[in-house]
Amino acid sequence: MKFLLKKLAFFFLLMVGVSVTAFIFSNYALNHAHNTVHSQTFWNESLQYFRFILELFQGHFGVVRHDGSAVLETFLLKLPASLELIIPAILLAWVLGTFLAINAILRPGGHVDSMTQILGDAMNSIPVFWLGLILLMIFATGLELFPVSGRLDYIYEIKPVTGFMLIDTLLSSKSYSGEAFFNALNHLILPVMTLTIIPLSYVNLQLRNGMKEIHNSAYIRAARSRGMSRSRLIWRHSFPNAIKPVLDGMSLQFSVLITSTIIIEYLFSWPGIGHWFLLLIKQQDFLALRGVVILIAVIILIANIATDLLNYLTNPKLRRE
Amino acid sequence: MSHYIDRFGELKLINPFREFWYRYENHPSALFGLLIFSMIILLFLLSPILAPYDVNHQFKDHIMVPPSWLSGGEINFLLGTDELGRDIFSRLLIGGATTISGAFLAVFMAAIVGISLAIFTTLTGSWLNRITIYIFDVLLTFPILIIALLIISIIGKSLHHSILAISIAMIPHFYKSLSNAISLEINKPYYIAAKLDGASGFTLLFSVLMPNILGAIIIHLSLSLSTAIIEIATLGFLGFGAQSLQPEWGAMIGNARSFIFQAPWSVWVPGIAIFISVLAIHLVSNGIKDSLSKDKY
Repeated sequence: MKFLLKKLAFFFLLMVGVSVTAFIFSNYALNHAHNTVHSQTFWNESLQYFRFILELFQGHFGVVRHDGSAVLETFLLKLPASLELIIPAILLAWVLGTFLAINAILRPGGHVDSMTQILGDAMNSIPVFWLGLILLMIFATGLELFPVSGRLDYIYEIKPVTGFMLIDTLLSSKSYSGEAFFNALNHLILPVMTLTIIPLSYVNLQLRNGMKEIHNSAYIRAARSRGMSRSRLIWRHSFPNAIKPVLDGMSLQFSVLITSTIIIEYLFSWPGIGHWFLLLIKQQDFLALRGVVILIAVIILIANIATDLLNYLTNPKLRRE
Repeated sequence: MSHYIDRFGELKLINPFREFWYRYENHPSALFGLLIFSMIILLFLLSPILAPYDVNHQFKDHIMVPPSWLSGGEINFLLGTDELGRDIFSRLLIGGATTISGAFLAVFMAAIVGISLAIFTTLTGSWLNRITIYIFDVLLTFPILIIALLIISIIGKSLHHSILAISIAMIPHFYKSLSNAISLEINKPYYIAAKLDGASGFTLLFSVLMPNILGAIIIHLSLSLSTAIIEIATLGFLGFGAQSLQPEWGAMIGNARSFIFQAPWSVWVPGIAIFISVLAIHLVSNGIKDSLSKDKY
C-alpha cells in the first residue's frame, strides 16, 4: 500500500512537470509561428497555466484545429487501435521469449538456441521502419498472404462498440461477422509481427542470461541433486528469480515500443494514436499537440507503474520491506 | 589501475590503455566490428572521390535500372537507379556520409551539454542537482523520437533541424547515465580521501574522477551513436528530416517506399547499409564494455 502511494505521488509530481513542459512548448511554438514577441508577464502566464490545468481537470484537452473535434474524444477513439497492436505484441514477446529462453536452458548450444541468439543480435541493429518494409515486401506484396495496410477491408461495415476491431466484428450482428473477424485478424498479423520482434529479442536475451546464471548457482545444483524434476526446477526456481531484471528494464522497452508503434502505424496506415500524432506534427497544431502529449505521458507513466506493481507482487523481498 | 612486477623485481604500473587494448584484441567479434566500422568511415571520407555520378543527376532513359548482378542491370549503375533515374551507389555513399556525420555531430553536441551539466550539478549543490534531475526525469518520460518530432514541429523540417532535434532529445539520457555514474563514484573512499586531502576542484575532476567515469562515458557515447543513426534515418523516413534532393539513408528508403513493386532494390540497399553500420557500432561498443569490465576476463 505504501509502495503504491509512493508511486502515485511520484506520478503526480511527474505529471505536473509534464503539464508545465507541454504548456511552455505550446506557448513558445505559437509565439514562434506567429512571429509575435514574447511580451506577456510572468504573472499573466502563470494565470494562464492554472486556467489550463483547471480545464484539464474538467476534461478539456483542447480542440483539433482542422476538424474542431475534442482532443480527448479523438484520443480515446483512436487508443483501442493502438492498444490492439501493443498488447498482443507485449504478450507474444513474453510468451515466445520465455519459451525460447527455457529452450536455451534445456538445450544449450542447440540449433534453436544459436539461431535465436544470432537473430536477436541482428534484430537490435535493424531500424523498425526498414524491418516493417521488408516484412511487407516479403509477406504482403511478394507472397500476398496479408493485406498491405488498414484495419479492415472496406467491404465490411462494422459499427464501433469497443473500438477493438477483433471484438467489434464478433459483436456485430451482420451475417459476415465471422468472415470480418478473420479479415481483421489478417490485417493485424503483419504489424504485430513487426512490433513483437524488438521486445522479443530483449525479453529472450535477458531471461536467457538470467536463467543461465541461476542454473549455475549452488542452490539449483542442490535441488537437482535431491532429484527435483526439471519442470519444477524451472517454473518454481529459475523463472521467478530471472524475471525481476527483465521487468526492471521494461520501462525503457515501453518507450522503444511507443516509438515503434508510431513508425509502424505510419507504415501500415493504421488509424491509431501514432498516425494521428504524426498528422498533428505535420499540421503544426500546437494546441492539440499540447493535449496529446499530456495524454501520451499519462499512458507511459501508467504502464511504468503497472510494471513496478508487477515487480512488487512477484518479488517477496520488496514486499517484506 | 593495476600493478605488475617486472623481471628486475620492480613494481610497475600497467598502462591502462595497453591493458584495455590487450583485452579488446582478444575479442574477435569486437575486432571484426572495429574493422567494418573503420572501413565504413574510410568509405565516407573518400565518398566525394568514389561516387561515380552527381547525386541528383537524373538519367532520363535509365529509370529504375536493377542492380548490376540482376537481369536487366547495367555495370555503369552498380546498385541500380531509383525512381527518378538517379544512381543509387552514388547516393548511398554520399547519403551515408550525411547520416553518419550527422549522427556524430548530434552525439557530440548532446554529450558536451549532457556531460558537463551532469558533472557541474552533481559536484555542486544538492538543491540544484535535485531540480535538474527532476527536469530531466520529466523529459525522460518521452521517447527520443517524440521530443525530436515536437522540436521539429516548431523549427520546421530539414536535415540540420533533425540533427539538432535529436541532439537535444538525447541530452537527458546523457545526463541521467553520467550523473548516476558520478554519484556512485563520489561516495567511494578514494574520492573522499582525495577531497579531504585538499585536492583542488580541477584535480578532483580531471585526475581523480575522470579516469573512473571515462569508461561509462565511452560506452554511452558508442551506444548513442547507433541510436542517433537510427533516429536520423527514422526522421528522414517519416519525411521530417532530409528532403528529397539531399541523399540520406532514411529519406532514400522513405522515397523508395512508394515503389516497392517496381524497384525493391532501392529499399533493400540503404536498409542493409544502415543495418551493417549499426551492427558494427554495436559490436564495437559491446567489445569496449567487455574490455572495461575487468572481472569478465
